[in-house]
Amino acid sequence: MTVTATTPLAELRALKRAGLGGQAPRVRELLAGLRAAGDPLDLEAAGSLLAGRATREQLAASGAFTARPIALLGSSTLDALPPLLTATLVADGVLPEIRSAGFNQWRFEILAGAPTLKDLGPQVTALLLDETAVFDGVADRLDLAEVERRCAALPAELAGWARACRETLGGLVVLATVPLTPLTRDRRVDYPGKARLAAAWHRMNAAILDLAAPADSVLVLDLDGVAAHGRGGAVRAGDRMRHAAGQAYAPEFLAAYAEELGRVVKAGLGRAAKCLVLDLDHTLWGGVVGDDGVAGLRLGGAYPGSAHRELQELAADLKQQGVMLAVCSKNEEAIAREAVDTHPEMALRTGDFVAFSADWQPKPGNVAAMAERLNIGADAMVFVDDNPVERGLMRELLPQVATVELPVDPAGYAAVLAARGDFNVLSLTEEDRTRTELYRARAARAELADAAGSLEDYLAGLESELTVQPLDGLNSARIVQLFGKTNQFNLTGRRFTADEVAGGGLDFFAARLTDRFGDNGLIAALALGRDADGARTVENFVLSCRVFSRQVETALLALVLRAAAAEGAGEVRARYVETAKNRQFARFYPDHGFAAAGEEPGAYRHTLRELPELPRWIRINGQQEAFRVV
Amino acid sequence: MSSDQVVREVVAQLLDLDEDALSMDQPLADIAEWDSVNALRVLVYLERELGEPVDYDRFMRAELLADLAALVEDVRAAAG
Repeated sequence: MTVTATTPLAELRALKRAGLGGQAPRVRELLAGLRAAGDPLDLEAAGSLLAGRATREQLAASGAFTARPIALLGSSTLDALPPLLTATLVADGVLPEIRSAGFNQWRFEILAGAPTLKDLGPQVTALLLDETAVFDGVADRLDLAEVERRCAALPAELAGWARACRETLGGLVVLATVPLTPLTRDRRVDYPGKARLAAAWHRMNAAILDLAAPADSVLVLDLDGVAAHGRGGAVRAGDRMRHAAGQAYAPEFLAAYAEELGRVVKAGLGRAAKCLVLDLDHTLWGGVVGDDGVAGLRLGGAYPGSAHRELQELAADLKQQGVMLAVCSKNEEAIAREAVDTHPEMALRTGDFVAFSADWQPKPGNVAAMAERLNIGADAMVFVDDNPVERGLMRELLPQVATVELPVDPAGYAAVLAARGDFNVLSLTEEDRTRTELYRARAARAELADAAGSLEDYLAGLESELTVQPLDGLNSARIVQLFGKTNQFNLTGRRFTADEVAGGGLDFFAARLTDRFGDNGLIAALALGRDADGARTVENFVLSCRVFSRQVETALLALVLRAAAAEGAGEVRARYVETAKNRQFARFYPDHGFAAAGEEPGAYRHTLRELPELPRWIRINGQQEAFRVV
Repeated sequence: MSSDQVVREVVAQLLDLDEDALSMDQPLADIAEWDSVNALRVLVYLERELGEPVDYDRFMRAELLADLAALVEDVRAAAG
């Protein structure tokens, strides 16, 4: 069948008809185009096309998507939300299975033990309320004292609801503030009354925002911020749709909410971007430094210099929160570095960048090399360049990179980049704040490697010290984060939630590595179990890519084996499960003396008859049976 | 594009149906996916395509695809 597909939607339908199995990249591309075009009706239609079970199974079978069960609850009709969220997430390589409880069932569903949602096992449960959830409990909406009491009571009610939700469904609970509609504001005629109503409402929303507790996996979205990203800024559904369909929210707003929820889901999957790659001429500053000279650059001061300065300040703030910055620019390197380090209005200096590529090579190659050197995927990079030709080239040759569509006027650069939320994470740790330092120390280590005669001399020269720590209150958040965001050295792909880590079913450990260049922080996490016959099991083992190639993994595994032998376990069992990103470690266990166990591929055992040596260039702090549980 | 074609495309697009299998004298009630939610989606989508509001009562009274096409035709004529 030949199909002339005139629109992305028509092409998507044609693809669906022909079978989506091998079409994952094209499907993602079409959805990305629809998202960029920003029409929520088209996006909803596209999401509906992909929602059927058969379609989902075809997409799942392609192996190109991570599955994610998600529950949506609300007090109004949210029919458009599941397809919008589907379209958004599938475009980003996540295949959601979305389930909702019926209209206004949010309270009952959870209080009744989640009969509809329980077997879904949602990893994210989102609650989107509207004004009716407040006024349902008010007899006279003009009685300000009553409205104030209701507004004061709702946050506590939501706190209880979120607790029950966490206990019943586990996973992440995403709450949101409740917008006050113009119709409710406008029906009061006296200004003091209007002010009192607004004050009560703002206090309620502030108290709802205070319910955010990342350690307990409760997030709260500020819907004012979400609405600001929606096309046209509309929040409320058109009046006819409110009446005819019971809809509280406009399609534009639901699309913006779906985007935000999509970012939360991706952050939970460790898919937040990690590195911001910036062009120089006409991006970080106005003008071309090679032509105009450092003094001729437009940066800081009056517009448009102020706009470029604003972008730099945004990048500096992102860096403070753990985002790595890099330069990728077509310039003479010496001139580019001089401009960055000497221009008085620069908010960034060369020391702020973990990589600095200024040459005349095609940028996609440079960015790919950068990703490799930093040991992150190209899909963790965000590319900002004023030149549409460079952007097109990046999209064409390195589509995994998130290429930012900048407006023509630099005045909008910072706002456009910030609004994308590429770097949003569920919470920040101390490690995030010091990441650039860690990577810079790593670059210094690479220089030492060049100077050292052999790998062993180099490793010995590092003076590495490894410390194993059992789970405690201080390291639990980082352990959850390491399991959550480590993709390469992740031997089974199994992520552990805060609940599972705290649950006590497994023994969790972390390891810290220091060397002569500084502290690398917690760089590894292990989950150890015990089988009924006493054998130790490695349920998962993750290692930060920062410390690859230093045989830290060998040291840690040797310590696990020693501890098991010391406590009399018969053997240590382990599994390798292939994921999209961990293939380079497929032979980790056999290379360390493990033998295949039984028929199951990837299952290994170590009989503990011969224990491997510990790498002699790593000093082990504390006892060598650090993994022993007594 | 003719009004017939507009209606056929929008209905096919939103309800994921085969355009060629939709005839103008088809009763809407016979289309399995034609429920109240999808009807409203079609209405909103048509309004976007036309850039004009569509009479709600007349839309809801429509029994055949042809009725929707006639409605679209009238909206276009009125808009000039």
